[in-house]
Amino acid sequence: MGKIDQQTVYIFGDSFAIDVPKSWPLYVKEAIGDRYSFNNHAHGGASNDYSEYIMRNQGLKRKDKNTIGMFFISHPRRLWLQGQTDVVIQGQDVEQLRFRAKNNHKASVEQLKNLYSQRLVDQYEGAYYLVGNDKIRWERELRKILCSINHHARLYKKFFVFFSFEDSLHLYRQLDITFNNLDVIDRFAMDSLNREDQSFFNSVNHLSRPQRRGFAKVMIDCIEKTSFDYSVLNKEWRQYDYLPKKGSL
Amino acid sequence: MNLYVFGDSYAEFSPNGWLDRWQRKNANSKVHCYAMGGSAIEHAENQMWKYGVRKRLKNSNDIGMFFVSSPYRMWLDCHIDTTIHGNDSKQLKERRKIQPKSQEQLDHLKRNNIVKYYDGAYYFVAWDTQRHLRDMHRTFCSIDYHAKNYSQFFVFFCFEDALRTYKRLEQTSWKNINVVDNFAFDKIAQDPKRPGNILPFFRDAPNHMNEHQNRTFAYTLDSSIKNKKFDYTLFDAFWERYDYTYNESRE
Repeated sequence: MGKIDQQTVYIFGDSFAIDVPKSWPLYVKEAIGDRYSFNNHAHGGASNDYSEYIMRNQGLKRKDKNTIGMFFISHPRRLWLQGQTDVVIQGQDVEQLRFRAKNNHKASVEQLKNLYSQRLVDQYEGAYYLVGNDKIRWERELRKILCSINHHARLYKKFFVFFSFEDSLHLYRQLDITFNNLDVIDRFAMDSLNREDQSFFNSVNHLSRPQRRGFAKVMIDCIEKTSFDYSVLNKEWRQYDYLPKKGSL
Repeated sequence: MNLYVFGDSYAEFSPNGWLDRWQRKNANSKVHCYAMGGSAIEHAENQMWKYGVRKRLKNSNDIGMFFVSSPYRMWLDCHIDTTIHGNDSKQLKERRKIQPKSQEQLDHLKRNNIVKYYDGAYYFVAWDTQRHLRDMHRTFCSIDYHAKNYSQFFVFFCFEDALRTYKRLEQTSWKNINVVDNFAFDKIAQDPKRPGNILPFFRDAPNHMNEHQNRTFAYTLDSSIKNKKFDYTLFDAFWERYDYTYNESRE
């Protein structure tokens, strides 16, 4: 019997992809962990620019024909503050902030407090969000992030991009750009982002148990067949209207 | 041939500037110049996607050029992303229609010595290497991806500090762009040893270049397009040679 090459799956993004007990990445690992190794760098509360930064630092450095990449795009309002000293605030704890404070960014805490007191940022469930909608900025940032992911993705056998939130998906569809190294899952978002409706933060990966199990099955297929099948999702997920709405992002 | 130009004042169309000279010599070619004095890198990147070539046509001979400004130059990314650039207040007025708080936020940043105004553009007072590297990487990924729509695409550095930042990027092999990385038009926009002290780099001449420089650059551009490779040979006589190697003590 010939030796089977073990394949690797890299996962980047926000809390919809984190590796915690009973989460969908763990179900996937339990099912196909003998044939695949997993490097999960997703982080709760991670902003897109933070995940992109992690991807370039922790992801592949040279081409590997056996590796699959996945990136879960977070909400555009989620914050990696780009003020003077580049305050970095994200994550479900203050670890990131402490790291920055150690690294010559001692003004970070003070700046954040200042912005918070001026209601320029909002805090929710461990992550900071910019207040207000700036579509021009969000589009620009998303385009640059996707261009960087696309550039990085050339090193992988296949690279999937998922949208954690409906409003990010709206933005993507308005960019009207297709990427040659990416398989963008653009007919589905893990959740809506209705700030009044906090229910999506209540469970593992913010998904119900049937959703987690269903999504794990889809992802196993996705990894093994290197294609994403939308049809299985219809049973468990709300179908969103992805056409831009007046007044939405 | 169509020539698309993006970037800051070094690429802005001005009478007797290098672009004007090139256009006169290549009367059959059409110049589309979206460069603007005071443009931040992000602004130029945005203009590129907005006005550049979105789809490559068969047998098209579109040439692109991007002039990378200083990382210090600012497109404010605070709260509502105040956008301040340009030699006049037109951009600000446009933004204020969309984001009425822009002026108020800018005033706040000026009062707190976070930004400084110099000759038509705003600059960050402090240098943030990590941020500049991150931003530059993303911008180059974006330019490289956009550049697939052109037959050739050249990238130039207007300032030495941008070039030195570029030299520190881990990834500098691109598929679609020809990066002219052995030359910058001018020195840094600010003095790293004295943050906030903006150097008087602007020469009162078209594109901040003297006549010889404008002429040389127009000529070099012509031969570079024909040879599909940038030709540095004429430059030594007219430009100061900078030390482009990274030196930590200077950051």
